[in-house]
Amino acid sequence: MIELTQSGDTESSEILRVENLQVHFPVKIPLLQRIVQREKAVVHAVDGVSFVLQTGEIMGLVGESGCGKTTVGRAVVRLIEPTGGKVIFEDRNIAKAKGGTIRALRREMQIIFQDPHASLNPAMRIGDAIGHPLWIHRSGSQSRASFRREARENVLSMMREVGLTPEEQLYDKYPGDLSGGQKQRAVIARAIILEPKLLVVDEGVAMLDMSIRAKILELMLDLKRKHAMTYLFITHDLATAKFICDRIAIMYLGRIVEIGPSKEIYADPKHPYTKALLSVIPVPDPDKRKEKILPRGEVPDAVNLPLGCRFHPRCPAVLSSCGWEGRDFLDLLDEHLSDPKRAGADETILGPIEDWWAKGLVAGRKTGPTDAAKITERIRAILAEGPAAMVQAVGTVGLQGKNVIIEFRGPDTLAQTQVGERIVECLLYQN
Amino acid sequence: MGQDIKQQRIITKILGKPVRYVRSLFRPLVRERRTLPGILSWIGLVMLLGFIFIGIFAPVLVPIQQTNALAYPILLPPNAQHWMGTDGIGRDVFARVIWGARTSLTIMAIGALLALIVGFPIGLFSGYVGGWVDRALVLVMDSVYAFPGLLLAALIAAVIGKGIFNIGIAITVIYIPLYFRVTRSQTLSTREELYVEAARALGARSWTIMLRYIAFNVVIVIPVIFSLSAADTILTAAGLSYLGLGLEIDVPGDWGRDLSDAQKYLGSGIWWTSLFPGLMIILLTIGLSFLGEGLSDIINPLLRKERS
Amino acid sequence: METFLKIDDLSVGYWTRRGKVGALVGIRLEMSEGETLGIVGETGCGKSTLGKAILGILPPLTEIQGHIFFRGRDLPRLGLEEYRRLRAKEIALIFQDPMTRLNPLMRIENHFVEEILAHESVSKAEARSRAREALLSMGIHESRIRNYPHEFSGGMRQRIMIALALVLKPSLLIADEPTTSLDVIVESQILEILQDLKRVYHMSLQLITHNMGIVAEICDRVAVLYAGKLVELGSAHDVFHKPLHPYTQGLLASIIHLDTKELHSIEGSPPDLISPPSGCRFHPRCPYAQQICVEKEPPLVEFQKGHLAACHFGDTFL
Repeated sequence: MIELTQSGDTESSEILRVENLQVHFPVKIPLLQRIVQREKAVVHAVDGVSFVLQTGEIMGLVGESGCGKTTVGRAVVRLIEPTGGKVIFEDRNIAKAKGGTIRALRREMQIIFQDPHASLNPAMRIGDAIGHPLWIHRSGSQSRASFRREARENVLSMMREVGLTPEEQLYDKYPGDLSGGQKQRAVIARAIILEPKLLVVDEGVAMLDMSIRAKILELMLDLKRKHAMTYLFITHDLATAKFICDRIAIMYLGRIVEIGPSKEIYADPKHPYTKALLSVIPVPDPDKRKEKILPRGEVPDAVNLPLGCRFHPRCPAVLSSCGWEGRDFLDLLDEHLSDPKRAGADETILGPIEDWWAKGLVAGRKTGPTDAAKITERIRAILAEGPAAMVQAVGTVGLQGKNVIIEFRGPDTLAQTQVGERIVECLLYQN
Repeated sequence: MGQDIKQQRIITKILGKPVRYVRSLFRPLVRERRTLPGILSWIGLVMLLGFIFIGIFAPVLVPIQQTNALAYPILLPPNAQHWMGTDGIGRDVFARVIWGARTSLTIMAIGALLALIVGFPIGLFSGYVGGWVDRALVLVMDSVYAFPGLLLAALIAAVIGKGIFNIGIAITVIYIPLYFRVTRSQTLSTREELYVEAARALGARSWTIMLRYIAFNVVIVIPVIFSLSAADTILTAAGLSYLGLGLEIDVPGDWGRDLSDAQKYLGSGIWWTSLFPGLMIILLTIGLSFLGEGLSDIINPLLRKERS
Repeated sequence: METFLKIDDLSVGYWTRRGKVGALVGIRLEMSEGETLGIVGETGCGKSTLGKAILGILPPLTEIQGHIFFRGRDLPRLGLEEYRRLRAKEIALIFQDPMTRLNPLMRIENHFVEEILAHESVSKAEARSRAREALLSMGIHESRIRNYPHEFSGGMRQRIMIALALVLKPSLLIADEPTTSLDVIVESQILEILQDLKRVYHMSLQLITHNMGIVAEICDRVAVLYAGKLVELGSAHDVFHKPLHPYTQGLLASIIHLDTKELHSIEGSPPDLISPPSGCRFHPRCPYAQQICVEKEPPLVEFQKGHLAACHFGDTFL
């Protein structure tokens, strides 16, 4: 893995190093099906993610829903146990740590969730909620009474710091009495009262109105400076990430596709997915309606991943070696047959889509030798409707045994390439 | 001033947790006092308190002698001395009815309360822990629940014998599964809430999460279930007594028993021996139902609002 | 020629334990056929209430005063059956969460069939074929028509909801936060679809949202709501480039976009709609507030052609 460190900076050090992090969730399928199916189906939520977090920086983890960024966040703070890889926090690999170790870790790393309305216990007063971490992690030596007094002082001072004033009054209120912005401040106060070194912010402002987002973001920046914290900022909002993050990593389907200094990436995005994401961000100016690069289709499910580069079925800049496979042809065929204008007689010649199968690089259907020629001809015609790169990737089309098949040439191996100060995982930039 | 705060603190320390539970239950009642469900709850609560008052002060209101057999001429219709007349063995019906409140409420207290005290923690634990423990408990509880209540109570009563305490136990057994189920299902849904995950992220231990985070939020529905099951308890107890399986004959008040005894006189046009005990059963049941239904309407919007 | 949609002095209120909530107060708005009107504001400003009021689906016991003239007919005064026939056939509504519209126990096909048959007396077969057509236009293969809602992704469900809304070819589509729960790429796809449909069916669109970005993308005119009142109305260009109301200015300034250099926010929080501030409802949060703002409620004044604002000092921002 190519190392990415801030050049020439002897002061900062690594606080977090994630190596090949893998989090797979089992797919819940009925027992009978499980016996029949040979392979175990898993959701590849996080599939080999690596990055380094320097002390004091704000790193953004950006992507659409389902890309795995939230799972990475939870894995880093060990709310979830990774199924593979390393999570090295201050020189200790905590990927497989258990119980007591993890609880001790909670003093040093915390997480803030997306929904301020749901993060606070409705039955607990704000003061108690914010002070709860102090209670959980208290040392046994102190007397209860003195602890209570100290804790209360701590909480009140924390409330002042995050702007939850008048603190004496709000201390006794319940979450139901607070506004969204106030709740989020309480959540932040609760997360940092133990002065953690690392704070994972999972969409910290996404559910707040725009007019108060700025205030909360400013608060977060302020607190970071005052308490010398490092942030892992998870968001789908590229605009916010640009403003607040020093470095960002763009995630897609469980992998990082581009990672580097945020200024560089925003100025000159390299990966086609990054380019697409940036192009669709709405600009609040009706006179500047820009051209958008919309990737085809939708994010595929994380159980059956695309071959080669995961983005290839949707990529506007796709090459022939990116990973074309049988399934892609079937998608194209499906599209073709669904469109009454194009389908024409193909329904009868090629048959319904259910008759077709796809396995790895090959797709095909059972047929008698008589129709083979016609089917082959139609396959080629339909291919022409797809991306040019797809046509170039075709190896053979024709009769093979009892099936008419189409077989693609295999993909080139995808590797991480350094482009400028960043790393991109894309064949476009490989040698 | 300092003295008061000190006293308050001491009281809070001693009563501590139970008081906080109870307080969190009463908040919604006070808040909703002007709405229809609120009014309904208050009516029910007042009725219940009325009955409790009668039950506690029965000896003061009506000397127990009035419930002895042959204290008065038999089967007198309601008049100035006997507001509700006398029954077939010369007891003052009014006296019987007043003392009956004491009996019923005692059974209700033992039965429903015990069921709550046992069922709630088990349900909480089962729902939180999950796994095979949960599945085993559910199996047991569902089996008991599936049994027709009165029948099971009768069976148990037949086995362990008569008496207020025994009847209370029999009823407890029937109602434990109810508390278990309700608590468990609430626990299951509360367990998935974000604030519970947040508590885990803070490093809270399982017990803390179960008690402070889940229990407090689950206990909200208990008053509803309590009121409704208590109403049911009264009917079951009365049913048992009616069948002759309930209490001993010499208990000073027993609505169900009185109803059963009064049956044979109905044909002769003697209505007061059956009407009044029956009326009491109905009133207490209605009061409890009002309280339960009213609370249910209040609690549900609250539960929904918490999600917004 | 009557105006397509004319909202005249509309007020909507409902009672709570603490008092009467004035969700909308004196709204005056017009919409011409074929235009896209954006209705913006923060949480609780009343924009969703406006959409529901037009469609007549507010909860019972809500008080509605004023008029909503749709092609000359005063909607709040319509009879129940007449109003029902209007819904989906002439005015349709799509929500933020498609699952509130889609019945998880009903196949997609039946959603369509049920809706069509509720308004038109056609055969079931005809309804089914129209359903297939509608889905195809959304890029959903007809083999999936027998699927249940949970078998589709979020973006597809949103498309299904749009298809459902349009299958009867209404002339007005009200979209309440249609893309808020979607990712940016899917959001763009949906916006593209909405714009295409507008063109093809000459449909008018009312876009209710707090996302100023998409308003700038597709809206012709913009109405800004604050605490139940209309505070600014004008063309997208005018409102974005020359906002006359301090609230609009604050909203625009607090948008975080790719070229944001500084963070801005609006002080304070939205007011209590049961006892709102006196005079101009925005005065407690307004950086320019003067004594007159506390005493007198500013009227909606046309400071520029087609550009109105409710601020005593609107002309100073021209």
